[in-house]
Amino acid sequence: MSAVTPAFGLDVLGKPRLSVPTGRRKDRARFQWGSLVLLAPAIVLLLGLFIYPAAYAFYLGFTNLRLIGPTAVHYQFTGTANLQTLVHDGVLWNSMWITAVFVGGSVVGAVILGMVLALALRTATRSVRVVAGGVIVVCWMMPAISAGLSWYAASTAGGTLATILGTSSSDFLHSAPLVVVTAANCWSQTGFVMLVFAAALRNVPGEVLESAKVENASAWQTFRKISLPIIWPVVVTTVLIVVLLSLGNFALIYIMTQGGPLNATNILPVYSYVQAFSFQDLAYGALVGNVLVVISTVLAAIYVKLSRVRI
Amino acid sequence: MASVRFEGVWKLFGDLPAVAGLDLDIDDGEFVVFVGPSGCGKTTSLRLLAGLERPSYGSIWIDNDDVTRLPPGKRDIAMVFQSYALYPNMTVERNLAFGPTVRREDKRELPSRVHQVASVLGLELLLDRKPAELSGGQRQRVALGRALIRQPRLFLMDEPLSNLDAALRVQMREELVRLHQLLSVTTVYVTHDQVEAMTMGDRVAVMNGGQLLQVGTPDELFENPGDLFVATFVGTPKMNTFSAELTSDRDGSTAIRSLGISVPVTDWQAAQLLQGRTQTPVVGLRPSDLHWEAEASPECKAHLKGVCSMIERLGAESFASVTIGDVVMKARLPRACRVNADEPIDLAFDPADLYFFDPQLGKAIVERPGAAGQKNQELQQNATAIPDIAPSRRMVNQ
Ligand SMILES: Nc1ncnc2c1ncn2[C@@H]1O[C@H](COP(=O)(O)OP(=O)(O)OP(=O)(O)O)[C@@H](O)[C@H]1O
Ligand SMILES: [Mg+2]
Repeated sequence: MSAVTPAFGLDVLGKPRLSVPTGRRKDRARFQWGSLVLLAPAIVLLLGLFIYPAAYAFYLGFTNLRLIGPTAVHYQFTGTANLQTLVHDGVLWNSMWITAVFVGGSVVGAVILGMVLALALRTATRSVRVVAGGVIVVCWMMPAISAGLSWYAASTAGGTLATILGTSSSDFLHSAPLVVVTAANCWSQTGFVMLVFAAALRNVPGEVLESAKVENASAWQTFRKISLPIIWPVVVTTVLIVVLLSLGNFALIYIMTQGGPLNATNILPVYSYVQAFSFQDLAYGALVGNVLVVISTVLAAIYVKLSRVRI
Repeated sequence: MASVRFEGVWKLFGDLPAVAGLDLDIDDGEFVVFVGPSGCGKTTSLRLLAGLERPSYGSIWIDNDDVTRLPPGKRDIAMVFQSYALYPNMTVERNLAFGPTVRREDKRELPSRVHQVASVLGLELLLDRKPAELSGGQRQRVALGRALIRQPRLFLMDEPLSNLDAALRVQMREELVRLHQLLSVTTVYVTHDQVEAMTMGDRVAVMNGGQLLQVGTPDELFENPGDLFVATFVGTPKMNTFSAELTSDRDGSTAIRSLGISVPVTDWQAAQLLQGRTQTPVVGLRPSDLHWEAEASPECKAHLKGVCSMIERLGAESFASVTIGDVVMKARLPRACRVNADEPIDLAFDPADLYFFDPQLGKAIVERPGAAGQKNQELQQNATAIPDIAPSRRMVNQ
């Protein structure tokens, strides 16, 4: 035995000479074949109700299926014909750009607003917390139809917004349609974001914040260096959810503008719908839907990777 | 460096007084220890001083400034939290550096300060780990390090050594005392461990139920506890107490009758006892003052016969529970005494070592002269004396 003692005689950080047993370890996870039996019903449901319809819809994007007419029943696979149309479809590329602005604006707006509200409500008195929190949650719970109608009524000519600004004849849905629908979507997602962030912030131990307070850290430093890093995985997951919710928020835009005026709010889901049901080209509508699915999947993969959340 | 004053400070949680009328002056550079049982308001007092809690009544002063409404960050305090409160998202290194960084202190000095503190606390090899990857004792040392890296006006430490093993605790205790002698930063130190309190504190404040019962040097508390609570709280094993009856003989000498014997008391005890109103005082006798007959000094004029009911051998000495009549007393026995359980034993004590308390109020009714504390004081000094050798050497000695 050497007389060298590791620091404080506590932390055994030198390499002790041990003969570690070899062979199969008992603490490794092993696949249990018996679990297949128990999982069978779930696997059947997943295949029958999700994988098959999704795959079928994907396939439809590469056919000449229409809503009415001869190919409504006897449609066939047309290979890359639809894809070629898609690549040269200027409206689609414009729609992608609009989708990006709509989703990006909604995410940034809702996340910042939700965070500010969650932080503000944490220090608010109980009565304020209950009332304000309640109102915000109601905004979130409101179905897209009601939210869309409210915002339509507020921003159209002679609406609340115009009246408040004293220019009752201006129609914001015409002059700044993308801004209005993005704001409306932001408004309806903020409640959700706030709830999630408020719950996450409650998990930041009070004494940790007090410790920072004793160190004379400013509110911003405390948030930036302590609270935000602690809740970061939640922020990443929330961003992903808001992106997906916004991508799918077809009803809100369809009610307010139907994608107009002049395609100014024509996000991908709306375009897909318009192609399929207004122009009766179901196959092309499905293909646009496929694009949406691919984008969502890529985004989901990126975010799962970023947040290192194990699913 | 700063002096501190609590002026009639109350803290009520709802209706519950967690701190009740705290009055205390702490001098510049003093090391004051708050000690008391769990839930007595130690942490709350510290949080009041830190500004994390606002007093319900009263005021708190630091250096002649009323800081009652000053936010914590402006008080220039470094605090060790009972629950550590480490920043879970930061490595040990960044935990240590956080305070100086947000205070915008000199960046160039920071790495050397971090390494200095880490080496004092034995954390050098853990600097890259997050708190979740540390053991309880390691976390506690990081919490301590986060305070020690600064040179504030005031150190507030809430049970900073509670989670360390015995050897490390002794070592850190010495380290903290040494640092205090070096820096002379006023320190308020909370512990429920009265050995820590007695060995570290310039003065010790004993609390119970939100009230400050007594403040004094360790010797004062040991020699002249103000009441029964302090008397039984200070000193291990705790003081034996039993009831007694005051008697006066025909020749005018005073004695107490208890434990089946009559013990003549000293003149200074008699004088104070006769002034008191009670005829049936509660009497206290420390286990260390209850001696084995065979090795008792000539002053031990009171003799007891009892039966040893239990004995704990610690090597150098042993502690015995001895049944005398219907009272069980603890006694400290020398190694030479090989008595076993259920065997009779003869004990003796010096009446001058007795403590007397009012049976109703629990207040001390006899003040003991300081001379009696002489031998105890020497022991105390030996305990706190710090060998002047480098930390690494001392580790090996441990
Ligand atoms: N935030 C609070 N709300 C309500 N009651 C509290 C609060 N903090 C402390 N108390 C109560 O105040 C009393 C004193 O608590 P405190 O934490 O000061 O005790 P302590 O002396 O530090 O005890 P321990 O040694 O167990 O840490 C306790 O009865 C406790 O239950
Ligand atoms: Mg406490």
